Amino acid sequence: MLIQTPAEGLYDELFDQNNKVRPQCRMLEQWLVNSNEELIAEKRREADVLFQRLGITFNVYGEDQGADRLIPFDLIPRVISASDWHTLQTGLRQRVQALNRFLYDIYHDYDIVKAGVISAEQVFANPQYQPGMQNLKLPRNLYCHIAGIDLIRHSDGNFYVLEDNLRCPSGVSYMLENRRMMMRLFPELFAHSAVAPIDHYPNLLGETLRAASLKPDPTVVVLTPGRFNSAYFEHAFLARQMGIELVEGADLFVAHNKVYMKTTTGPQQVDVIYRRIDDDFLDPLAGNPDSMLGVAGLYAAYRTGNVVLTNAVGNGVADDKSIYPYVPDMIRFYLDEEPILKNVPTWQCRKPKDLQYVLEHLPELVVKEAQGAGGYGMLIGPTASKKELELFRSLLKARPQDYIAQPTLSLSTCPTFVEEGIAPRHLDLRPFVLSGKKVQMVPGGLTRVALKAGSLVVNSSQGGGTKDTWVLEDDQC
Amino acid sequence: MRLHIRHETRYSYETPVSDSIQYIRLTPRNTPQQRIHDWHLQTPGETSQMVDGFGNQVTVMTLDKAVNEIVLTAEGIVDLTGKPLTKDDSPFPPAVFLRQTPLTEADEALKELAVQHPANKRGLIRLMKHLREHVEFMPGATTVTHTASEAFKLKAGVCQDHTHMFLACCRHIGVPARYVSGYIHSSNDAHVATHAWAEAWIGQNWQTFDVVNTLNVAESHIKLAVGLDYRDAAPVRGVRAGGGTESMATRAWVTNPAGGQ
Repeated sequence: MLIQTPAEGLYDELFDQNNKVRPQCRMLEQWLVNSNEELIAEKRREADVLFQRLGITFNVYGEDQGADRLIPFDLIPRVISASDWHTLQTGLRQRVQALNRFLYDIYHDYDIVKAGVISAEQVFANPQYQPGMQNLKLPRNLYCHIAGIDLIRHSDGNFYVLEDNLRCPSGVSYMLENRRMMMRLFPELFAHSAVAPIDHYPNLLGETLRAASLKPDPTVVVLTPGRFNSAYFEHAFLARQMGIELVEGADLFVAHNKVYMKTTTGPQQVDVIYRRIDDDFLDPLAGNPDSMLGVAGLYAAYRTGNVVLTNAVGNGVADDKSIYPYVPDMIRFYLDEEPILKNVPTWQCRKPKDLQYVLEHLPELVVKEAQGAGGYGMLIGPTASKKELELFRSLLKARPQDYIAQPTLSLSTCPTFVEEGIAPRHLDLRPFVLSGKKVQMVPGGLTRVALKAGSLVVNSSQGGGTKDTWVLEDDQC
Repeated sequence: MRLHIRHETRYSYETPVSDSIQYIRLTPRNTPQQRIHDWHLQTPGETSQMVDGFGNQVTVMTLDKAVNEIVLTAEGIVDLTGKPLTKDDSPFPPAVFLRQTPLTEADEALKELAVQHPANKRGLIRLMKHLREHVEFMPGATTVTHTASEAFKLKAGVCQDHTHMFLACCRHIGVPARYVSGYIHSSNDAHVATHAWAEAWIGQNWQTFDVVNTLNVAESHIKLAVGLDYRDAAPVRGVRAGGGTESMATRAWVTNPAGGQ
């Protein structure tokens, strides 16, 4: 098949700037060139059927139908060289360690605020800061056991962190299923390449969750809001893979500040809850009083050290877009190291000078809500209509503190199957970083791809797809 | 001034309640302004203790037998020292109390009122007086789910609404302000009642603003809990299974053991 070459000025994961195939992708390129269209079309149909049968579907928020929808899966993997991964892994470890230190610090002595690195108002008046976490002692001082760090590769070839997800990052089930799908459809590809395995992720996750408690053999459960949640499939999938119970709030109760699970053989104490419910819904007596999803009394059990929640409550204050610009300073402050991974330059519209710059350069910039997630409240200047630009101009003037702006980054591209054949599409990468006794991750992560030509929005809720992510064990092959 | 307090809260249910769990904030803490002697909280269930993030003492009560009534009795002796509020006693910086909550979020009308007042003690006293004149104290006019903006529109409410409105305005003009729940003793009729008021952070000090009584001092106030709003500091928050309609009655008495009132 013919592979459409990438646009100039962008970084392509397969081709270098001279349209030569990158060494780590040679095998993949040969396979693509030698594959005939009919075979590939058949494999794509097969993949669709398999995903449908496996039940990997996704609810899209804000769509009236509320129907499950398949996230498009692209058969062409995204390849990361061993040396690139080595840098990424070291940088991710460093970043997540600093973020955990930051969370511990602001919920205890807030040295970083006292040192003047970040203002008290930015941390403590942030709606994501949870006063209920103040001075709570957590095992190993860990707050973020499971992090999803969104990275993009810019035209300069460097990876940049776009966003840290420290609350309930999702998507790891797609990472695992994409690999299984590829191995099933194209076993010959794996026979010839040294692709680093990722199937031990559920083991690492289980190990991380058990390490969240100091008990020798803790009981761990996955707490889901239920089957109407967009990530329900993932909750069930992970529980099954780890061989632990999947529970809803109604399956748990609290007595004497301890959490119990109702079982056929009587109540069983629960030590660690991998919760996929937002902070405010965990306990109707501490958060939203109308919540039916959580467990009454859970906060008291947590506060008295009788149960561990993963991730901790109140992590949002560290992954908020208004705090993001300070992460490099956190790394310097807590670890006394220079950041390995780059941050995207960010204008904080709360600062009058930054706001002025943003208003003057709006058509070149990306504007995001400081609290937003999912790519809904976002302006992409270069592709925005006059009307959209005017709307954001007035939003920015009315509530500058709610927005940040960044330069429009040229996300790297990767060949992708589209209607007209194989063409370059923009993508990002979300590795999952696990913090327990040590910081661990499986090589790669979830690659999301924008399927519309030129689109920079990779969110599955906005029509993005996914790819298998290959980290090569050795760059020589 | 030494006060003997007895406070009874009685929940009655149409049909039996089978299961319930409550977070009870009815235990005052020792502070420079109040010394606590012999404080007891009686409940019909099993209890355990926790200290929440604000530093409030919380009794967690669970009840797993069917009952038609739940009675909570708090009783004890408190010395009010008359010392003014001074240094910050929070486990975190006052900036925490800059943020609005669903109950304190200021609408346009409250914002318009807020910005007419400078962020200093005199300005906030004027704000307090304005709110008290504009919004009638009317028990029954609102419920615990009413927001500051709703009460302001209604021009009626109870201490909790007046406090929420005051907090909404303070936070809007950048003054950290917190919700306080407790008791107030009025010396002329030997009467004590559950009450709510605000504290605002101005001039590097916390200052009392009891909106309903338009008081800028807390000489006769016994503090039970603080928080961002009523939800954080509520004397009782609970959930239950069964029970049908709930009715709640609360009574409080005070005597001055030394004689005089």
